[in-house]
Amino acid sequence: MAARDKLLLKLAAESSDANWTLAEAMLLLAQKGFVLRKKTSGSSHKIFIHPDCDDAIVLAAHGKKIKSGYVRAIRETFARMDE
Amino acid sequence: MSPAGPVPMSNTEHRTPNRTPTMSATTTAALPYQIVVAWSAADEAYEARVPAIRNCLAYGSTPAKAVKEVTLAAEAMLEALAEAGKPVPAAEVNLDGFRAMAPILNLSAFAREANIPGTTLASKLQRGTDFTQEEAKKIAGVILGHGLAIPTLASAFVEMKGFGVTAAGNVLNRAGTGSFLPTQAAKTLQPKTSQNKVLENAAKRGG
Repeated sequence: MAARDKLLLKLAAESSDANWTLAEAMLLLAQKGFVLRKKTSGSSHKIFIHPDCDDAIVLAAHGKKIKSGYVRAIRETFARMDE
Repeated sequence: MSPAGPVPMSNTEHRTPNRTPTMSATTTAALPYQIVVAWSAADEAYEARVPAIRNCLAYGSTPAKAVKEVTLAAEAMLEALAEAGKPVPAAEVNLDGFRAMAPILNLSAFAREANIPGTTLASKLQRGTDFTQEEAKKIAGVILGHGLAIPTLASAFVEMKGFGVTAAGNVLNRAGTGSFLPTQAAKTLQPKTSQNKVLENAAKRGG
């Protein structure tokens, strides 16, 4: 199974929301076409923009992992994009 | 309107949060949008959201830290959205309240501080013309900068998705506009609610 499919499956399984690393989330976003915006401030937040989506996505790492709210935001955004 | 869900937290509970979801709403001078803060048991941290900006959230070990983080996130997101030519949500300003106060304001001084032409401001107020998003943001900036809040004319319920609770938000109304109630101003202009106390306690601790 391709890495992208594995990540999409993991995203669909809501029980895994607390077990995402920043690297996994960034890879999934990149595969979906989101682009990491170049940082202009000292903020530790990573902002992702998609050319066909009006919503930005923010990620912030707490260690290697990310909080579950960020994963929920990705899932909801993908669902809106796929509608 | 008084919320049924939120539970007041003492200083001790703040360090070891209650399992019951708690939330509070505020705005900051730097950000003219409502910020909603709630304890996230799954993440063992306070989660702050800016409902007006989709996907805008951040975490902190205290409500104050979560608010600080989400303010930074919101600023970065707004900058990115504007840069990419995406729509940016309008500032949540109760312009009806501002219009009501206009007769007792020094509009020339206000316009100077807001960097809006005095004639434009006076004319729009007189005719009841809508302010542009940029003008609304500037007006909010001046009012918030002086620690002044215009109480909202309508209250509504803000649903906090993901926490299984619906709690009263004293900022947004159904029309999508709302008052901005900085914590400091809320102390004097609003009855103390459990939500306000949460942030007030956090602010006192500097945390």
